[in-house]
Amino acid sequence: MRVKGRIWLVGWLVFALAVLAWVITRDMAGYAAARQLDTLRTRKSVLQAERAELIGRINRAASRAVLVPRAEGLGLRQSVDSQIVILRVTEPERN
Amino acid sequence: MAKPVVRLGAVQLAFAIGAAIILVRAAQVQLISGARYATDAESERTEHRTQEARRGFIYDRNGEILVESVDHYHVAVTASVIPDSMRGEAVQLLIEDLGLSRTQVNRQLRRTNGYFRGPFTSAQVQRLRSIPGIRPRAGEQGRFHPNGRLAEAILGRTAADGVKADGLELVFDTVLTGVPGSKVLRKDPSGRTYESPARFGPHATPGHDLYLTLDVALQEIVEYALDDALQRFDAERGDVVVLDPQSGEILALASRTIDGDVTAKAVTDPFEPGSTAKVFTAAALLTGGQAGWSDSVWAEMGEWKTEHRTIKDEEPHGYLTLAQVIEQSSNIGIVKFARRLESRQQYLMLRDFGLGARTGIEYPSESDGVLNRPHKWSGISGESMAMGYELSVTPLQLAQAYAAIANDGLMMRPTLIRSIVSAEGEILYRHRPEPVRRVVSAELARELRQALRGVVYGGGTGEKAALEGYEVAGKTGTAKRAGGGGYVEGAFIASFTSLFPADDPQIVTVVKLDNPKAAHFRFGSTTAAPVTKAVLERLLAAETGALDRAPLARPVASELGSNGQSRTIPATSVIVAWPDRDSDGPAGDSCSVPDVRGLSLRAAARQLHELGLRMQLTGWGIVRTTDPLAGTVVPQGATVRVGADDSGTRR
Repeated sequence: MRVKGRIWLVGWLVFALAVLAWVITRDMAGYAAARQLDTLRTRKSVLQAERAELIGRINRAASRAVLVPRAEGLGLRQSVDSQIVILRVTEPERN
Repeated sequence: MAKPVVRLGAVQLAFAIGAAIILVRAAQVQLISGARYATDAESERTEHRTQEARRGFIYDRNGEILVESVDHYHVAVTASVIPDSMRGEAVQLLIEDLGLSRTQVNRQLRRTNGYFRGPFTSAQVQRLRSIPGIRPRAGEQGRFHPNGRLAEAILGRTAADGVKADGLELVFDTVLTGVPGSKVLRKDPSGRTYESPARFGPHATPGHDLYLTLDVALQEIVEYALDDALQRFDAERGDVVVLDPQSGEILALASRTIDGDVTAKAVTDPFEPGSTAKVFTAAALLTGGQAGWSDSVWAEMGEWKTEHRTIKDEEPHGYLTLAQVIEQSSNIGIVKFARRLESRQQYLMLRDFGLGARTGIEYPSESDGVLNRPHKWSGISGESMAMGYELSVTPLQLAQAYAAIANDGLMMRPTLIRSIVSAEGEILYRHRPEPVRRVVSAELARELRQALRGVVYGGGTGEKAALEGYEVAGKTGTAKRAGGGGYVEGAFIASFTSLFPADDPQIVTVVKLDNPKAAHFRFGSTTAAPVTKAVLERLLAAETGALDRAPLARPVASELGSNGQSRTIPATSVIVAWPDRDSDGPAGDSCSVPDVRGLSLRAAARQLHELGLRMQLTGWGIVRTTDPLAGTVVPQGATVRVGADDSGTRR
């Protein structure tokens, strides 16, 4: 069966358009993935910065320079050595 | 009008010519100018940049982060692009999130292209990203200290903006610095850039991580105690060194001035130690057989005029044995004993204790101290040195010398570095205790410790350092302060060097206070000794592995269990069971690191957690390495660094 010239032309045009669409779709998907990756990287960087900041704040709040004056303000004090007894905990017997 | 056949022929010819033109042009573009067009197109859509390598982290001995790397940003502003409706919000965010003043913000917004140098963190610039015309730009990595200024001088800083690098950041710069890689950025049609997975160069290799010997909890105790002491005794500056005598590991090191300068003078600035040096003379006498502990001299009731000068004691004494000379810190007594020594003999003993030589610590600008050779000595140099003058030491050198006494006469090299670990978790260096030399015999070291115990508990000068439940050995020192070509009238350097516990010391502490001016608080016995006591008390109460509490523990629990009778504990007592664990928890104070190599991360985590260990992960996949190594005995609650990769699964 002989395929007419116009059919060939339309066929090639459709093929070319399909290839073009495929390339553009892949390109768009690539950009979308890159955007997502970029967003995630930024988010990770933000979270790391926030984590560092929070750890810093926790450490600062838990430091002796902050805690001791507050504890003393509440009437608490550091235990002296005679009030510290270190116990040797014996191993529990095993059957 | 032409015939249809002619028209069709014309159209076909036109198509053919058109196709030929396209073919020729395509051939020209592809074959002749193809490379140029490809390059142009690539540069339109992509950009090559250097990928900065993450600088290594610095941890304490328990895996607590001391320094980490964070991304830093600058902020560029094009005021004309900011929509009017968002201008107010933009100004508010710039002020609130970047911590800028309104004046600073307005000044930059008046310019065509404004710029805020920062540096700002990623979190600070996050909300600004949504505002057109404000563009956060990634700058160089910055260093973040989660513990604020803790151990600031030791850690040091990197070189930036003309500031010179110092501290461990300087010494280990090549270790911490990674190898930069390259990355490709793709631009979308609107000009925004994204990092492409395509890569034409190597990935950046992160720098190695440093694990220090410092213990964060102890370092904080020491710094707090030192700050408190400077205020309480009105001292100009102070230094504290805490050393593990058996390994040479420095557990804490702090230097402070009343003005807040924290430069590590404990390593770089020598001082005349005064009476803390008397024990070295005693060691020389006993080693050479020129004196025994029970030999005595007449201490002239507190004042002795020699051929050259008048030597005084703080308290008048009659006859004193060598042990009592150390206990009472008698200048007259030690000088009379020192006259039995030859110069060379005295010099060699001082040199063996490390005086006049750098310890070799990994810190820049360490001082040698001063110890002149005997041929440079004057007629009274030996006597002066016996009292701790005409020689100078850094607090670290003094700690090292006393650590030799604590360690049965064997001197160890001090270190700040416990291990160096690559980003993949491979241990590149692990500190092994490094003996320097045997200074005195083990027997003599025990005798010296006994004498130093007498300083604290035998009615000696160090009684303000005495703990009730645990024994401390130590020696006070009060030296006139040098300055202006002589000694400054009324100015002293007070110090106290301690060994704790006295019989089998685990830590050596040097506390030095420079020119305490508070009334009645100018001597080592009244200033540095109580500071030492405060540090030890807080150390005992703190939850830190810097101290092995097992030898200090009392077997109360077993007594309770054996006779079934309860033991009355004073109502004021605070019972600290160490380590703190549930009665049905794993047995023992410590445990061995299990061999989890080859296991999945989940299985490894389960094993480690069942033993009460913490896990710190590097990489992903199958476990390849652990730090500490499998079989190493560690206290419960310790952090095990696990390195994993998925290379095995790929294979």
